[in-house]
Amino acid sequence: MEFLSYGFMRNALIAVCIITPLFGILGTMIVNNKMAFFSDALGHSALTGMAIGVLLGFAGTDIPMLLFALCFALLLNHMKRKSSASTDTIISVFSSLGTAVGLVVLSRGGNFSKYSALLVGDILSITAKEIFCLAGVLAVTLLFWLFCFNKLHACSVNKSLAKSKGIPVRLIEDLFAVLIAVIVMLSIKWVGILIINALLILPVAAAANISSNMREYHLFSVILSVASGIIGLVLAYYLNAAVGPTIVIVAAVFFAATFFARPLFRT
Amino acid sequence: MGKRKAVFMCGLLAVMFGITAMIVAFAEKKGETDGLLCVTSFYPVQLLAEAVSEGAEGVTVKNLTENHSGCIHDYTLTTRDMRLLSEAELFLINGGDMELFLEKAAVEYKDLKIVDTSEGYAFLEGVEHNHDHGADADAHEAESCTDPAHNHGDEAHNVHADETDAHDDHSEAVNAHIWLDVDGYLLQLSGVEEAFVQADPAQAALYRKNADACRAELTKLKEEYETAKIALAGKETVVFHEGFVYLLRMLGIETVHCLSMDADTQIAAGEAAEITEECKLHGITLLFAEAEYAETVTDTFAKEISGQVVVLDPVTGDRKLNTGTISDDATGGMSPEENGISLYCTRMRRNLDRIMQAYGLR
Repeated sequence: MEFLSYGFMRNALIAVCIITPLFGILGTMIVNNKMAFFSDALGHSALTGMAIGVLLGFAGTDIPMLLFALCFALLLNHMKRKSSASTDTIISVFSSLGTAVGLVVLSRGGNFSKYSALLVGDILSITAKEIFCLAGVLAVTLLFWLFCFNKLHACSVNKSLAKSKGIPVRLIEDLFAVLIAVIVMLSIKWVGILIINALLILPVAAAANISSNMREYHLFSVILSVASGIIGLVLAYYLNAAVGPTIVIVAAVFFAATFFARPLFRT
Repeated sequence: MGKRKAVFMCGLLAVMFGITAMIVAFAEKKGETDGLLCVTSFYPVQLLAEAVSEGAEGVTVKNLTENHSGCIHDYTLTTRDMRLLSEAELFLINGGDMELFLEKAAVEYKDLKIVDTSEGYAFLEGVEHNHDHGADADAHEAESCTDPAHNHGDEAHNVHADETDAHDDHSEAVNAHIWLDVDGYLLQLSGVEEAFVQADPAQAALYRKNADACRAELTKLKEEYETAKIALAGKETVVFHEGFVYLLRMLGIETVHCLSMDADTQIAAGEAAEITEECKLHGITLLFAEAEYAETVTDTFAKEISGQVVVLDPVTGDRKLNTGTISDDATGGMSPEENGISLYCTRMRRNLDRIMQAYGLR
């Protein structure tokens, strides 16, 4: 357990223990509501958020990134409701625009390399303060999950039915979009734009392979997510690999194992 | 949850954690180093540290950015690097904002002695300034990494005048590639020497002796450049690597424009046009680039101005990575055993050869 003797690894381990259950829970809701592509688009919009921060001369880019993501998520939801185009088309438009604007601003004078760390993330440089911040987000997510999950699930099954039951569909959807935006923006620096969606979706997909009800689905998702995170971090340390991608590979192994084990659990 | 599922989940987790534990056990068996561990931030500093500490007892020099061939502006620390740094007693860096990743590392390793080998050097401004054209026609007189003496005094450069100054927020950027200036490298040598002497006073005499030998070699190299300067001074060119500004400055060749090539970004269309205009205006037909980007430069600029791209070696990594393709007929002259300063000198001499050949002087 030599790796625990280093401060950066202890911090990273704590961060992984917070981020992975968070992603496990959020992932189930994202997949249920068919918003996998939405969270991916949000991840890409981080580039523009950062670009705005750089242009306006903010010392840290966290706040402009967060504010931009919130606007981006709510606007996207609004467009989805108003437009006759299909959801994935709208999201694709927003995602590409978010990436393009960010690239144009950040790559001025061939300087994109300064920001390219955002693409793969760097969980090893996380600080105690940022860990507390993530813990706060985990708490908020748990609250949302406790109080809104059934309503959100009802919306995902049938919006009209949900409305007739007196569920504020719009409010719930917007709240959820805001939650995704906050989580994606706060964790993107540690996880990376290119792989954040894999971490959100893979454990959920693995859990879906072997679950037969909602309880199992959530439980397995969180367990597999946390296990991928811890194993990935430790392996990355000893194999000298980038942390985020290693976690994704471990999660993919879990997915493969559950995929092939599916026939065992058919009733 | 069925019993089967519980068993499957436990089994799956046990297997995965088991494999991880085996890898951990295997990796932790590997030995550790004793004595003075000196970590360098990248290749040119590593060459110096190895040369100065050659023959010293109990000194290990390790390089952080081992597999990185280019400059390290965009480098992020890996877990191996973080481990190395936490075990190191001495950390030698290039300085001049080259090690941007240090901002984080410095917080983590408060006890680590970080030595900036370029301290006291008068850096040129960084290439970011290339876009910092003001509203007046000759604003890029003070531009970027180009020679301060560069002055046009004609109207053709109004081509830049309509650009806004929206780009000028990188005012602190400096051109950190000072190892390509032999004077700069000599200064770095002294910095490395002092660092070793202070960290390990018992072997001070050896460090001094090694450093003196390096100094003699570098001085000889410098003289060769000075001799060549007589024939080359006053020429003008465009370069595609910030470091070459220093290298060509030693030869009295003025860089009228410097574009820093980057694997992540394409050349902006406006800048390409601007460079082509400058080349035509100054009658420049020789462009200098590193091997990696020689082809891009040829396709974008050299064909346009009917010029030629000369491949230079930025001495930032394994020499195999830098034996270029275009205009590269001089790969010889290096024996595989060469290392440290003599390797640096050989590579710098080869650069000089290529420049002389390109100008038809050799």
